[in-house]
Order: sequence, then structure tokens, then C-alpha cells
Amino acid sequence: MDDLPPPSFPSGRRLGIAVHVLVAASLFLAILVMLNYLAARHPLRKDLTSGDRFVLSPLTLQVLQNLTNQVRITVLYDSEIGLFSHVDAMLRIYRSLSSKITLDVVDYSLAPGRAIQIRDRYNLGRDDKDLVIFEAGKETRFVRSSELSVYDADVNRMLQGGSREVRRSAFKGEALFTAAILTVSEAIRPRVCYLQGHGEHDPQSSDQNGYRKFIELLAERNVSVDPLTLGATRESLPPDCELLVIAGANSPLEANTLRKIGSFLDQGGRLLVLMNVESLAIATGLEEFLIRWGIAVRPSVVADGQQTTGGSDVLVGEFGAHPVVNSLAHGHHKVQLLLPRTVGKIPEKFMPADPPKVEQLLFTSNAGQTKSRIRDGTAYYDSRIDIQGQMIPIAAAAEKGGLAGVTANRGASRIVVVGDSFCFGNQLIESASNRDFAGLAVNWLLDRQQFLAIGPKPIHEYTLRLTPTQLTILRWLFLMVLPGSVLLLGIIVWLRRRA
Amino acid sequence: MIDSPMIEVHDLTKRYPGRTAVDGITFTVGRGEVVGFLGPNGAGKSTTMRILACFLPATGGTARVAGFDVYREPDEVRRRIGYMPESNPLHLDMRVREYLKFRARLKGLGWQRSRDRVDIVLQQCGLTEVHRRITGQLSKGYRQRVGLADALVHEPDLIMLDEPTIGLDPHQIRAVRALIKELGKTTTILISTHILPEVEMTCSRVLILNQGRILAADTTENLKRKLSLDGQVIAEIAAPHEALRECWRDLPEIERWDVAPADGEWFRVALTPRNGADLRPLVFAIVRDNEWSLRELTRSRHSLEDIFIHLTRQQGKDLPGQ
Amino acid sequence: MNVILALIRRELGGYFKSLIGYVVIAAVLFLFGFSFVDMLGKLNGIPQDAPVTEQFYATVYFWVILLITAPMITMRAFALEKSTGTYESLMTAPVGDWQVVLAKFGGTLAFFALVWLPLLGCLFIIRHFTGDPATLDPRVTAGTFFGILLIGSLYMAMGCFASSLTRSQIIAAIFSFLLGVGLFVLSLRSAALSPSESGWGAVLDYTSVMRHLFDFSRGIIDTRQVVFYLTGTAFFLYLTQRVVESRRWK
Ligand SMILES: Nc1ncnc2c1ncn2[C@@H]1O[C@H](COP(=O)(O)OP(=O)(O)OP(=O)(O)O)[C@@H](O)[C@H]1O
Ligand SMILES: [Mg+2]
Repeated sequence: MDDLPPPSFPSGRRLGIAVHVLVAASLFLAILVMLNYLAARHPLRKDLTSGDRFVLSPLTLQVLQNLTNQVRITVLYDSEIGLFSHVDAMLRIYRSLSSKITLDVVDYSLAPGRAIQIRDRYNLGRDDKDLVIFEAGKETRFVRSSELSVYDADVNRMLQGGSREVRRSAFKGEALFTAAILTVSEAIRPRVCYLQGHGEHDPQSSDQNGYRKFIELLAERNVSVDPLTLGATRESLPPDCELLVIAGANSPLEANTLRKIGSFLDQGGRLLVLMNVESLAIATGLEEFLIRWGIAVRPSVVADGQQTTGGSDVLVGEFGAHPVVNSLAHGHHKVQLLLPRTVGKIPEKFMPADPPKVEQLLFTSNAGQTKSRIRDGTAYYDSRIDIQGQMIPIAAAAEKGGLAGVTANRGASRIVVVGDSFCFGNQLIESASNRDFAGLAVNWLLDRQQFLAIGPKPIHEYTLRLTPTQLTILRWLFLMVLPGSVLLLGIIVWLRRRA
Repeated sequence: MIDSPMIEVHDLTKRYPGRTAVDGITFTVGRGEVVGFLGPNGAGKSTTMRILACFLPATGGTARVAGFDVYREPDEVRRRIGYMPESNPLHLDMRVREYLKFRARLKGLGWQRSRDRVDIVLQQCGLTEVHRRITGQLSKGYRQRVGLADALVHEPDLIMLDEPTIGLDPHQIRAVRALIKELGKTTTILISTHILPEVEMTCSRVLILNQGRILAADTTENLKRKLSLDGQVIAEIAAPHEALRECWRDLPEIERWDVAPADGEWFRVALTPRNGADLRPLVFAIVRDNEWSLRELTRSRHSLEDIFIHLTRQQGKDLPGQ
Repeated sequence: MNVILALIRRELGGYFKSLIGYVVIAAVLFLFGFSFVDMLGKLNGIPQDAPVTEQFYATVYFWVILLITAPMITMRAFALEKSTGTYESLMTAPVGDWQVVLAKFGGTLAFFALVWLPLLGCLFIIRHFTGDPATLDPRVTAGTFFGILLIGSLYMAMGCFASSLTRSQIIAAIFSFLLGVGLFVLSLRSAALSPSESGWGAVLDYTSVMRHLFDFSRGIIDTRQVVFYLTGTAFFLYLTQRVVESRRWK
């Protein structure tokens, strides 16, 4: 038969088909890889949540689009820690928006080795954690977890004498991250001046009362810190100075120095004043100066009958409602002060015209006591003028909206006054949450106008409240009843249907 | 395509590593034929059927079903066949009707039509009473019927049944036989089986396969004739022994003869004709001429089984060891 | 399409007519219940800010459950049919290889989705005990389940592929478990590797399934991840189809 149809199974067919299949499979794989590559190049993220949690502000978008330097962001976090989810999610959006950004998320509990590398690289302490590091060129800027939240204090409850319930209400990562990226990538270093010449703490010293660690804390924020002596020769503070720190002056400030500080503040300058017990008996001039800003620094030492470790220190666990201390209140943190002075708000009737907004930040417990009679360099309680058995303020913050025109570039003037300066010394800054407190105060003071436009993102915080009985019931339900009944059903079906 | 034979197999070979299961077989099954597919265990019957059902590829050769190539147009082929595999695999967790319904849908029948067809095949295969039962709980015979019903459900042009009657009781075998006869009027059927009487009764043709080769492909009648196995004549004759032995010698029609003493003066004579001729008139004439007595004269009929054994024995010496 | 639907129905029926379906559901309920109760105990009374779905789904438990159940669900897909012989009657019916593959995949995925469905109830329990309706954002929940479905589809496709290679369910389960664990370990590895250090890091980060689940559970849908899962699923289904088809020429 010549007209036989071609064989169904010609010889050599298998090899041909095998090659064909291999080639087709690799082609298909190549197409899929290409699709993925395309997708990776043109990412699109859609946030399903209602709160615009992951929609960035125009300012951030602009900063990201104009990035010219490589910015390396390292997140050193434990993913179980609160806020991690927000930090991570937000920084991922940053990375997706700019190819200049590399993001490296290190969970130190999962990858302890890498955590050590990072700590070495950035000269961090062995237990330093929960922070975001921004690096571009030689510039670095750290953002710590304590800075990231905005809290809502339930003020009414506090007024009723109850313990304060503070809820985390928003996440201000975007403002901090964008500012950090901008400062490291453009090497903008806000300038901080450290006043000297009046017995202030030594900024270089590593002694227990030296301020070296405090200066490092400032440097973490990518600011340059310059010592400043405001002698007769200097007409004013450097024009680019953002923050003036006066840490523990214990001799009087010259009138003209105070005048220069005053005009610096009027132009939207920021001031951190740390008073201490050593200047109790003398008038440094700052006391009077601060009255104009609604803050009263009294010549008395504060003690706390309950919240103390050695008698001379005060462990502060009561906080006012203010951005500087809200996160401390939320985390039930403590701040340890040594022989602090009373720093409070002056009574309403003595407030100057055009009053600043003043909040008291730190308080003793209900067992607070002031001591204002000084004998042999020691302060004693004087029943005639001193008070006790109530919460006594130890730190305060004031803010005044800028004068139109004059301060447009710097925004509001801000002042933080703390009744103790040893608490930020090399030794005490490590105890309790002093470091966080210092950082938060500096952050608030350095807050720059342009980033105020970046609103914090609301966070919904919720708390599960189950009684032990309810937990037990749920445990039984999930571990026994539900799986057991399904299994039982299965066994019944199986018994009835088995072949 | 309509006039093409139902199955055309040419030089089909299937090799497994170290073994040739089907060795260059060629055969044709015309439309409307009912063909029995025979062969000892391991002959390659199931393998051939699997190739025809597009389940296995062959190593070489050509196979076409209803004019469609099994390799190139497997969809067309599969649409036209109803195949019941050797082990009769079923989803044992399904109910009978559910299973048949599922199979009917799988074979592309519409919703209404699959219902109708399932009802019909349930009837045809005697499954009506058990249609709610779970197939896994049925006896083997009933499962066999379910498999059969599955093969029929979409009214295929070609039905291939691989040992459909194992496990059936005699009644059922009869019923299946009748069913096959009935179906055979309209459809082409290829049955592999070891039950030879069944083939003899239902099939118009047989294919005998051994060790992957076709030994015979013909109607049973033709086979019998060709193999000259037919027509052996047994006669019991009372005659002198010597004369009885001598008288066949010169007859050209007779190939072999054998004379054995029976009781008394009777001898039993077995005569094998040379080319299938009927020897009975000749025997009778010889007895009459010699005036002997004749008390029995039969022409033995060989069954298919004899043919099968005869054909497959020579090569079958090494069968058990396969 | 009718054929695919008939096959999917049969697949799903298979789970509920045998013990395995119930065992899988009970196992998932137990394991998830265990993680759920554990999380409840841990988080009780402590204010939380991460979405509920992230707290309760993007956990290691989820991966344990997925890695264990995916092979259990998929191992029977092809291997069981091959070992009982029904594969022969299936493949000699006029069905396309793609129809069979898609139906097997569809059946396993549908069962996978069913297995996870009752766990929505857990979210309502949480909502009840926080006494705060805003705790549960339905869109985030939808995103989470969408993500679970996507991840599930990749794992089901891998399982179907493993099952198509062998006639032994055990081997299929082991193989698909290895595939699944491999992918998971890659994502663990990516946690320990900086994406900036090498191209590898970036690839690992891109394929990090753990990462993806985090995003989904926060209500973020990222096209990259969707593309990753869809192409991954397509790839394994393609391989499965090739394996099924190879029967006809090997
Ligand atoms: N998968 C396989 N691998 C290797 N050899 C095989 C395979 N399947 C079948 N064979 C061999 O092919 C030959 C033909 O087998 P086949 O099943 O076709 O025989 P059969 O004629 O159906 O026998 P039976 O009457 O016992 O059913 C046998 O020798 C068998 O050992
Ligand atoms: Mg056989």
C-alpha cells in the first residue's frame, strides 16, 4: 500500500517532542519572568483602608521625586513591637516611589547577626533597637520609636484625679522620615548653639555630669552643635541657629546676653533651658526672663515622698498633656530628676498680654513637696511658704505663634524649661527614660515649619478585654469543640460510606 | 471518513524498557463488526486497547479510529469511543447514578440528555435497583456493570471492553452477551476476554494475539477450516483388526488415522481429513463394501478453545515465565 | 466549561466523601484556633495599633498551617486517581489536558478557600471583645482574604504539580511540602539578607511570601505581588499540564 497515512508514531518523535517541550517551557518561564520584571518596574500599590493611611503628602512626594543622592534606610526593629507595621508599611511606600532609596528591614530578633553588623556600622549601643536610620553619603539621622507617635491624653479623666489614660492616636512617621531624608540627602544641618560662659555643663566632657552624650543625642538628629559665647563682641546669635541650649547656668547671665536671646526667640527661635539646684540661691536672670514667656522657675527644690530612689531624686511618672511627654505617659515610662526646681506655669492673672501657650510637662506624685529654705547649701521645708501633699510641676513648655512677617521662616517660638540639668548629664541620661525625654524635647523644639504640613496619620488603637473565663471558653471552643465536631462528622461520614 | 474502517492498525509497536508488549501488529476492524480480542496473559491486548483509547503512546506504527489518528486527533477519537479499562476503575465514593451522570457530563452530554442516557444505560445494564448505592459498596459484578454502563452512556461509535465479563454470574454473563449482541447491530465492538464460548457466540470475528503478534484474524469458521482442525471423524466399527488398519492407507483424503480397540470386537477409529473434507460418506461406504458393522459415526467439532490452545501452545512454552 | 465544572464538583465532593477533607478542616481549625487563643492571651488588655488581620493572620502560625495543609489538600489531585486507576477512565474521556489541570487546581483552591472561611468568625470574636466596631475594617479583611487566596493558589498549583508527577500520594505530599517550605525558607532568608547588598537580595525580597502576607493583611494590594502569585500559579499549572500531556508521547 503506497497511500498509507503517515505513521502516528514516527521514530525519533520522542526526542523531538522533549526538546520542543523544554524550549516551550523555558520560553514560557522567560515570559513570566519578564512580566514580573515589568511589574517590579512599574509598581502600583492600592491601599484598601479607609483612613488614607498610606497616601503620602505632596511634600513627601516632592522630596522623593527630587532625590539625587542614594539614601539608605535601615530599620532595626522587632516586628512584634507596636508601630512596626506602620513604619515598615510607610517606608515601603517611600521605596516604591523612589529608586534612590534602598530599604533594609532588620528584625533583630530574627536576624541578630545582621543587627550586630548594623550596630557596629552606626556606632550604636549593644542594646540599641527600635529605630530607623537614614544615611546618605556621610550624613546619618536616626529616628527612634519613641518619637513616632502622637497621643491623645484623656484630660478629663486626669482632672478627675484618675490615672491618665493615653491612647496612641496617630503616627507621625511621615513628617519625621521625610525630614530625615531631606536632611541627610541635602546635608542640611540645623544648627544648635550651646551657650557657654556661665558655669554650664561641659559639652565635651565624659564625666558623669558632662554633656557629651546629650550632644551625641543632638548629633543623631543630624544637627551641628556649636558652642556659643555671647560676649560683647557678638551682636546676635548666628542667623542659622535653630535652637539654643542653656544647660545648668549657675552664674548670672549678662543683661545684653538675655536681650540677644530674647530677640532670637522673638524671631521664632527655640530655647531649651535646664535649670538646676546650684543656681537656687542666685538669680541667673533666666527666672525673670522666662516670666515673660509665662513660665515660673521658683527658688525651691522639689522632693517626692513616694516616687524616689534615694530621697534627693524624683522619679516622675505623672505627665502633662503635651507632645513632648505623651509617649512617655502612654508607655508608663519614668523620668528621673535630681533635686529639681519648681518649674510651672505662672498664674493666669500675671500672664503678659499676648500670652504664650504654656503647658506643664512633668509632675511629682501626690506626695510632692517643695523646699525653699536654704541653710548650709541644703534646702529645707518651710511650712509657711512651702507646699506639700500635691502634684508639683517640674518642667514646662511654652509656645507662641510667630509674629506675622518677622518669623515666617521659623514658625512659632518654642521654649522648654526643665527644673534639673543633671538629668541629661552623661550618667543620668541613661537612667529611666531620660534619654527619650531629652530626645522628645529636642524634637519638639527642632520641629520645622515645613514639615508641620505633613499631618500625622491616624491610628486606630484597640484593646482586647477578655475575662479569664471567656478565655477559657474560647480555648475550649477552638481547641476541642470545633475541630472535634468536624472530625466527628468526618468519622460518621467515613463509617457510613466506607467501602 | 464515514467509509473508513472503524479501526485501522498498521505495524503498531509498543516497547517497554526491556520488553516488547506489542510487536508490529496490523489489523482492521470494519464498521459494525463485533470483534473478539484473544490472547494469553501478557499477550498485549490491554496495551493495544490503551493505545487505541489514546491513553498510551505507541513506539511506532499507525493507529486510526474512525479515520482519526490516535496520536494527532485524540479528542476526535476519544469522543467516539466508549472504553472500559481492564481493572474497571470507578470513583468508589460516588453513588451509581451520580457517577454515571458525572461521566456523561464529562463526555460532553448536555444536562437533559445525560439524564435520559443515564436512565437508559441503568436499564440496559440492570442497575436500576442499585442506582442510589455507593459504588464502593457494590459487589464486583455490579461494579462491572457500572463500568459497562459508563462505556455505553454517550452512545459511542466504537465500544472497547477490556475483559468486561470477569466477575459476572452466569445470568449476568448471558445478559451482557445479549446486550453486546444488541449493541453489535448498530455499533462496532472490540472485546477482550478469556471466556472463549462467549466470543464464539457473540463475535463475528476474532483476533488472536500472542506475545505481541497477531496469530490469526478471521471468523471462527474460517479459522477452524484453515487450521484443519475441523472434521475429525470418529467411527466405531466391528471388523478384523488388520483389515481395519490397512484399509485407510491408500485413501488420499485421509491424512492420519488411528485405530484403538474398544470393547469386544469393536474398534474405535479416528480419522483426520486432509483438507477439511467430510469423511463420513467415505467411511460409511467402506463399512458397507466390507460388510462390517458400524455403531457410531461422528464428526467432532473443535471449539475456539481448541484453536486457541493449538495456536498459542507452540510459542507458549515460555509463557509462565513472562 | 461544563466539563470543568463537572470535574470541580467531583473534586470537591471527593473531599467531603472521604475522611481527608474533614481531617484537613479539623486540623486547620485546631491549629488556627491554637494560634488565635494564644494571640488572644498575649494581647489581652494591651493596646494594639496594627490591624487585627495582621496580628492574627500574618503570623508564623499561618505559615505552619499553610505548609502542612497545602500538601494534604493537593496530594490526592492526580496521585490518587493514578493509583486507583480512575486516571485511565478520566483521560480516555474526551477531556482536554488543560481542562483536567484547571479543574484539579480549581477544586483544590475551592477547598482551600472553604477551609479558611470559618476563620472569618474569629475576627468577629475579636471585634466583640474589643467592643469597638472600628476594629474590623471590612476592606482590610477583604484584602487579607484576597491575599490568602493568592498565596493559596500558588501553593495549590505547586501541590497539583507535585501530585501530577507521581502515583503515590505520600511522595506527592512530600514533594509539595518541600516546594512550599523552600519558598517559605527563601522568604525567611530574605529577612536576614539586605536587599541592597546584591541583586539576590532584591530578588529574595521580591519573592518573600512572608512580606507579601504582611502587606495583604494591612489592606495593601500591590500589583507586583499580584503579578508574582498569578505568574507563579500559571507557571506551575503550565508545568502540570506538560506533565499530564507527556503521558501521550513519553
Ligand atoms: N507499564 C508497563 N511497564 C512494563 N511492561 C509492561 C507495562 N504494562 C504492560 N507491560 C507488559 O506488556 C505486556 C503486555 O501486557 P498487557 O497488559 O497488554 O497484556 P494482556 O494481553 O492484557 O494480558 P492479560 O490477559 O493478562 O490482561 C506484558 O508482558 C506486560 O508485562
Ligand atoms: Mg489485559
